[in-house]
Amino acid sequence: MQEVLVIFFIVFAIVYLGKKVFYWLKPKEDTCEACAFGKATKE
Amino acid sequence: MNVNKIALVGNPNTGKTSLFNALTGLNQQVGNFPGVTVDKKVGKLKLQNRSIEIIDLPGTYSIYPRSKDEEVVYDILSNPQHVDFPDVVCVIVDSSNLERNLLLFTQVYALAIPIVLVLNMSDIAFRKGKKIAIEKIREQFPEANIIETNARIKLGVKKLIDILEKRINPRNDVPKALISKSDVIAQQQDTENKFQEINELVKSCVVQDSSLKTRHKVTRLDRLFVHPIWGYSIFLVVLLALFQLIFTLASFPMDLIDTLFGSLSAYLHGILPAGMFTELLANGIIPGIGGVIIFVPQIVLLFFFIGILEETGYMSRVVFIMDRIMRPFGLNGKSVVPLLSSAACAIPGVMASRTISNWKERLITILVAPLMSCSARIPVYTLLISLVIPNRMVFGFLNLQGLTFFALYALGIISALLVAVVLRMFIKTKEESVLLLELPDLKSPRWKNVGITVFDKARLFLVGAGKIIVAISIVLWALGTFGPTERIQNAVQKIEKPINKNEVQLAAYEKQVNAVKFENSYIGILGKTIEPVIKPLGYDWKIGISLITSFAAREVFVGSMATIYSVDADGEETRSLLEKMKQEKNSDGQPVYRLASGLSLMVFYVYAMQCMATFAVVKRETKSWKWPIIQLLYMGVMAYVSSWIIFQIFS
Repeated sequence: MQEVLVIFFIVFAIVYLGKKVFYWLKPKEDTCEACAFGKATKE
Repeated sequence: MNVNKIALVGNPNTGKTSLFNALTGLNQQVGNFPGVTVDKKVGKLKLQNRSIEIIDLPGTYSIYPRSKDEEVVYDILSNPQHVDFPDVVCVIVDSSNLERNLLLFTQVYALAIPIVLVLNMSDIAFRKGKKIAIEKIREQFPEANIIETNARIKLGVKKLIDILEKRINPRNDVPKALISKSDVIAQQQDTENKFQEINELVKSCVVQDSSLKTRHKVTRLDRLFVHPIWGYSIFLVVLLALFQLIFTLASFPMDLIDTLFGSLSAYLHGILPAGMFTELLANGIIPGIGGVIIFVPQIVLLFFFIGILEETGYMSRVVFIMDRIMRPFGLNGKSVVPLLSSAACAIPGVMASRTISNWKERLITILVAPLMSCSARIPVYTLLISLVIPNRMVFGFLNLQGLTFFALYALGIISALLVAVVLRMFIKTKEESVLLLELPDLKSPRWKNVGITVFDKARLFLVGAGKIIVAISIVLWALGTFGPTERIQNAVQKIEKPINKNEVQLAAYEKQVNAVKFENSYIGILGKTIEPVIKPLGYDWKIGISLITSFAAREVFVGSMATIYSVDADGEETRSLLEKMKQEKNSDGQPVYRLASGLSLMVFYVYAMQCMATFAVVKRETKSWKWPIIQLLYMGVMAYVSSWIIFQIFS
């Protein structure tokens, strides 16, 4: 059971980081939503 | 008429964002210097049975744009087909300065869009002894709704909502087309004509009541703040005090958090059944989260003090005096706000460069902005300072650790200025932008705004960076726990087993086996591969791993170190990260973290562009891969060479 949980967390972390990298690098509209750490636009 | 979309426009620093927050109930950051809003912001004004979309546009003095942020206003209002074209425009003006503020209003009025003239900051006009005869303005602009407000204390906001909901004057006049963006001469002529009309109007509608005019007690203080000598001395003292306070006040909660997380790891080890998930939780996730939370006290304190400086209006004085310093280095006045914003985070800093009309000047500002020490560097600086700089007083009143903190910030500022000089040799500019800055009155801070800033920054740090740090901690734990089986077995077999199986010898053997397993794990192999490159800077392979992971964001460095030292901890979870790092030794028996390597690492983090989000934003703002790559390379080379020099000097 512990092994299954570990695999789940590792896969989850890798997918999350991969998505984050793609999010940063993909072209975006001209709004300040682009920044992950800066101000975010609230709609 | 049915209103669905409203645009808020006005000169910079007239309270547009305050009004936006008052109407929408949102908490967008407000500022009292230009460049806080460089993009449109959208919110909803909720009415009883429907809602109206409110768009907060960047501040501009004229509808004719001179910079990228001002173009947003022109593009939306000049094109009825634009997706954001509003049903109503609210032009927010500073009541105490109608002479300049009414230009934009007259330009927007000519477009024949239903319009509300919001005479904001009525309290300041009152303090300056100015009474406005609204009926005179109404005579000249009969189709406009006019209202007096004080958005800071929400005075007049209900009345404004009532007008927007039910009583908007429809426009029956014919709209005048805007002059094209490129026809500067026609724009100039139009502006001059409008100013003549405005001067006549202001003469008739503004009454200066000397009995109302209160004496400005703060004028003398203001003269000191912008004085060519005293201004800089005061700023220096303010900065020194700020860093001293941050270091002194934050130490207690930081120690507490450190101990709590160390104990939590040990506790989980004790109560959970032994196994892989327990290891991941106790040695990967918990130290990773602890590595983030421990720096919240410092982030909170930094933004609390910055919030107070902004709210009182002192930051506007800093912008003013910094403008004078930056000119000899080829940075124009408008670079000041982006660079000062970068001291919190480079991303809004890079975006604030949109106020600079000249592309080349804007580019130089973008390229040097990440050299300013941002809040993400605080965790790294703090950890390294605590490791290698003794906690003692110098000159009787200055804490050496706080002084080092200040020196790292100063190094960032000085380097940004020097790099700007070098860049100007390659990126030549013909014209110079000028900074147009209104100094707001000095006033006591509004604690709600300070609180919002602090809460937002802490949340962004915890949630924004925290999720990435935890994910990287999990991956690092996996890479540090697993490795090629055969390689690990071979390495373990080489260790001599103790002949006398007493407890001490067995424990020493176990420790050796764990160390060998860790060195032959995937992370160990990767670290050892890159070690030759970073060894000249005084770093070992564990630092190398953290340098790689912290490319995602600088603060990841600390979370990564926490995870790496946890995996390698031999069940000594209760020791804090600081203690583990202090006891780390090189193969030659010397401490890994001594003055030379510590300083070298600090300088590396001052210069290296370890931030994926900034890289992405620079790519977007420059619309090419070329400039972010150049930035990454020049900052990387600067970081490597400077760190090597520092290590050689202090070794």
